Amino acid sequence: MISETLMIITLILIWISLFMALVVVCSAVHFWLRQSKKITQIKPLKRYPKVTVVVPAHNEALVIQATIEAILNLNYPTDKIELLLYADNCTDNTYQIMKQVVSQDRYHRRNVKIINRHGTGSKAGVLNEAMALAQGEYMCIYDADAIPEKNALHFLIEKVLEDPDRHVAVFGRNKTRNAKQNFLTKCINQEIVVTQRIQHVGLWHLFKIGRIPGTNFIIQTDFVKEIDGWSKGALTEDTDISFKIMQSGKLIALAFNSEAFQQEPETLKAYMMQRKRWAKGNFQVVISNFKHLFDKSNWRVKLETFYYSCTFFAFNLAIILSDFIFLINVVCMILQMIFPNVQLLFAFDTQNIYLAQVLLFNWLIMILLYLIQVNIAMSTQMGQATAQQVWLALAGYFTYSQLFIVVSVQALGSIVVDKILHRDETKWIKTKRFSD
Amino acid sequence: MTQDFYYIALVITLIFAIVAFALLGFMAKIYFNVIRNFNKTERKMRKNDK
Repeated sequence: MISETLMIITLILIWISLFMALVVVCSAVHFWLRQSKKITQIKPLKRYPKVTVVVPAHNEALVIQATIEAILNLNYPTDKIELLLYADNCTDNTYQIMKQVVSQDRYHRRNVKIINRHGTGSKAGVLNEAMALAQGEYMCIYDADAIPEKNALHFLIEKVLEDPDRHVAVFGRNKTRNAKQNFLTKCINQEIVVTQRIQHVGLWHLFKIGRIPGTNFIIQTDFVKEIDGWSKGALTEDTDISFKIMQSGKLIALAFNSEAFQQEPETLKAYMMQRKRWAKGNFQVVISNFKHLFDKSNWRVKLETFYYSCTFFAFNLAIILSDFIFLINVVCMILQMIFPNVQLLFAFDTQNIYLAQVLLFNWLIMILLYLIQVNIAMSTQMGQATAQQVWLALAGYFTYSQLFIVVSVQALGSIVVDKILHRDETKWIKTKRFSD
Repeated sequence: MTQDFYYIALVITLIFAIVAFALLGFMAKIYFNVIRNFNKTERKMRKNDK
C-alpha cells in the first residue's frame, strides 16, 4: 500500500511539472505560428536614448577583444553609447588588452572608460559601481564573452520604446558560439535554444513575464537606482533583480530578435561548476521568494515562484523518487535470480496490470513531448531543424538531461554546507573560457 | 485506490497524447513558415542586388 501511494505521488508531481511546461510550450507555439510568417525589418527608432554599456570582466584575456570590438561596431549612433569596461581583480592581461583595443585609431572618438577595479562584490559589485558612474538613460550589460550581433542593441531599445513606462528592462537571447565543439556543447546549444525559444517566449507571450539572463539586456538606470541596484550576496544577481522588477509591477520585456553569441563550457568539469552555481542561485531565489506565494505580492512573482518551485523542487523530488523506485526494483530483480522468493518492493497488484501499462505509455509520451519541444525550438531557426538534432535530442535525454539531477542534488548539498561553514558566496566564480 | 487512479491516469495520458500530436502538427507548420520566409527574404535580397 505504501509503495503504491509513493508511486502515485511521484507520478502526480511529474504531471504538475509537465502541465506547467506544456502551458508554456503551447504559448510559445502560438507566438511562433504568428511570428514565423513575418519578415524582420530594421526600422529607424522614434528616438535614440543614451545607453551605458557595461562589461564586467574578471580574467577574460582570451575573449575580451572580440567583445569590445562587437560592442563598438553596434548599429546604434556612436554618440549615444558610453562604454564602461571593468577589469575586476584581474591577474592576467585583460586590462592591457582593453587599453590596446580601445586605443586603435578607428575608436579614438568613442566614449569609453576602462576601469582597473580592485573592489569586492564580484559582478554585482561591478554593476553597482557602474550604476553610480553611468550617464546613459539605460544600462546595457554584456558579459565579457558576449558578441552581440550588429542590431542587438537596436532591437532592445525598439522594445523598450514600445512602452517606456512599463518596460523598465528588456532582454534578448544568447546563442552558443562554440555549439559544434563537442557532444556537450551541442547539447548545451539545444538546451539554450529551448530555453530561449520556448520558455522565455512562452512566458512572455502568455503572462508578460521575463527573466534577465545576465547578458544582452538593458535596464533603466533610474529604476535600478530606485531598487538599490544589484544584491551583492546573490549568486545569480540577475534572477534576483528580475524578481525585484516584477515585485514593483513593472515588466521585463523580451526582444526575441536581439541576439548575442556567448561561449559555453566545453568540459564536463567547467559545465558542472557553472550549473552548480546557477542551481544554487536559483534555489536561494526560490527559498527567499517562497513566502510570496502566500502574501499579497504581484501575481507575476507568485507565478514565477511557482514555476521555479515546480522545476527545482517538485520535478527534482519526483525524478529522485522515481529513480529510487527504479533502482530498488532493479536490486530486487537481481536478488530474485539468486533467491527466487524475493518480491519486487514497488509493484502494483496483478489486478492493476493495466495501470502499469498506462504508466509505461505515459513515460513514452513524456519522451515524445521532450523531443517535440526541442524540435519546435529548432524549427524556429532556419537551418537548425535537422535529423541530426532529433538524434542528438534523443541521446541528450538519456545522458545530458540527467546531469540536471546531479547538479541539483550537489547544489542543495552545497547550500547546506555553506550555511554550516559560513562560506563566502560573493567571490568571482566564473565560467572557464576557451580560445576560439 | 489504484483502480480509481487507473481511470484518472488513462484520461491524463490521453490528454497528453492529443497535445503531443497537435504540437507535432504545429511544429511542421512553423518549420515550413520559416523556410518560406527565408526563401522570400533571399529572393528580395537577390532582386535588390540586381
